[in-house]
Amino acid sequence: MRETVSDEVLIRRIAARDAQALEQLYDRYERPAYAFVFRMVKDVMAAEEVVQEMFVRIWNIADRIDTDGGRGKVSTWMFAVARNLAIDWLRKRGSKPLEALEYDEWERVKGQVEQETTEHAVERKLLGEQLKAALEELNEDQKQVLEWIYYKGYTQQEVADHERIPLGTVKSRVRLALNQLRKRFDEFVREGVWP
Amino acid sequence: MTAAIESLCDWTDLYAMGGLTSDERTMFEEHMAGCKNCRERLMAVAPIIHALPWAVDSIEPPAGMKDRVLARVLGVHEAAEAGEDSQLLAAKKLTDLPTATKLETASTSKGIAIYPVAARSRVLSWFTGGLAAAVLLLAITSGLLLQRVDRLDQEREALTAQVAEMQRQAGEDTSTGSPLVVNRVINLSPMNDLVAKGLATIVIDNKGMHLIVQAEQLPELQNEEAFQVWLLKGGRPVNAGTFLTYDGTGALYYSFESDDFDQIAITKEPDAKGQTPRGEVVLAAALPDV
Repeated sequence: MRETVSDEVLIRRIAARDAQALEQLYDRYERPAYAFVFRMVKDVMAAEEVVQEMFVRIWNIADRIDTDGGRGKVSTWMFAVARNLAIDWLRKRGSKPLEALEYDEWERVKGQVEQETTEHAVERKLLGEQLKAALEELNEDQKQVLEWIYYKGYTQQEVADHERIPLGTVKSRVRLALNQLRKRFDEFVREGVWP
Repeated sequence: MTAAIESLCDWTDLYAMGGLTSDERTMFEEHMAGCKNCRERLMAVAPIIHALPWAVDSIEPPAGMKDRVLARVLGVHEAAEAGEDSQLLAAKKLTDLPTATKLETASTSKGIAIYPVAARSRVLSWFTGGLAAAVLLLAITSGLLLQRVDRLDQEREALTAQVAEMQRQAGEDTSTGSPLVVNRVINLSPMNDLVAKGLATIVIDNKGMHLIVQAEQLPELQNEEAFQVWLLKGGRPVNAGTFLTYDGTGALYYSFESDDFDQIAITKEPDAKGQTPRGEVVLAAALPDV
């Protein structure tokens, strides 16, 4: 069945210039990738362009991606590339392309994704719903700092300047937010949402 | 532990979230290679960051997006193999982010035929990659575009039916006049974090220009509130009418003579009586020149 083919296998087939594998990967990630990018850029046409560019990059660099060991790396990498491109659009409104950092992003993701990361879209969607609820539980300051850094691509210094708060406050808000989310994550694990 | 190292350890969460500059990231990665605490903290928070893309509201991608994206990706590949630099092509693509989708039109005996000009002009631009690239490109894109044409046919039929209905409501009958020709179709972008979607279609006949606005997923209206459409020229709004919604969906028809408006916006108004905008903009777009 098509659904049983892992992302890693699809990437290997894409590396061999298999257009059907690209289509299969596209079908799998069109909706989540579009929703994620739209969440960032809030523009329907820009979101489509960013998703399109993400697949261009995947197609171009697939032969350099070492997919051995550890599931979940491909999707994590894809979303990281999508986020970079979305931030690029937000910052430059498409006037200049992002530096070609997708391979660097792959190197970074490789070291951060553990084997137990779930591969299945249903589980991820469920986890996403749980995480969305957990994000709602953060206080306004914590939500704001996540919004600026993660969804708008601001650096710590830019957040400090924009919000007129010390750098240490930015760091502590991020830390408290992640600690709280991590705590909820541990509960997901106990509840069986996260494998 | 020195103050400098303590400071770098503080960067772990920001590194995981992508909140460091390029230089800071490099500095942190060098530090992390020799700092077990940072590596452990990163592994603890990374799964949260990696799950954030899944914690967003689901949204329907635009119709036909798959065909457009795959045609472009595979087209870029073929052009790149034929000698064009893929990064250059990527640069080209990001620099020509469209502000609206233009549809070229032609009248037929049955009504309106619509062809995707934007996609075609992009494809044509790759002909500079050489004749061989063009042949390969056309072979790939034609199959995908065929599917898209089918969908566009369906959309055309729906649009034609809507136009006919609008005309009936406006008391007009074009069956004996000049045929309606679609001049522009513009996607309206949501504002202020809304998820609303909208489409503005401008059609022309011998009586002038007609604007058809369709919008969905609009915010709920309270009391006497209404949505109002504005055509703008140099920031000066002209009232193009108001409409109410059913389940967040609404539409409006408006005839006008001038073709030099440069923007369209839909606002949520406290009532349907205003002659100037008072409420917040929910959807807007630039009106590109034809």
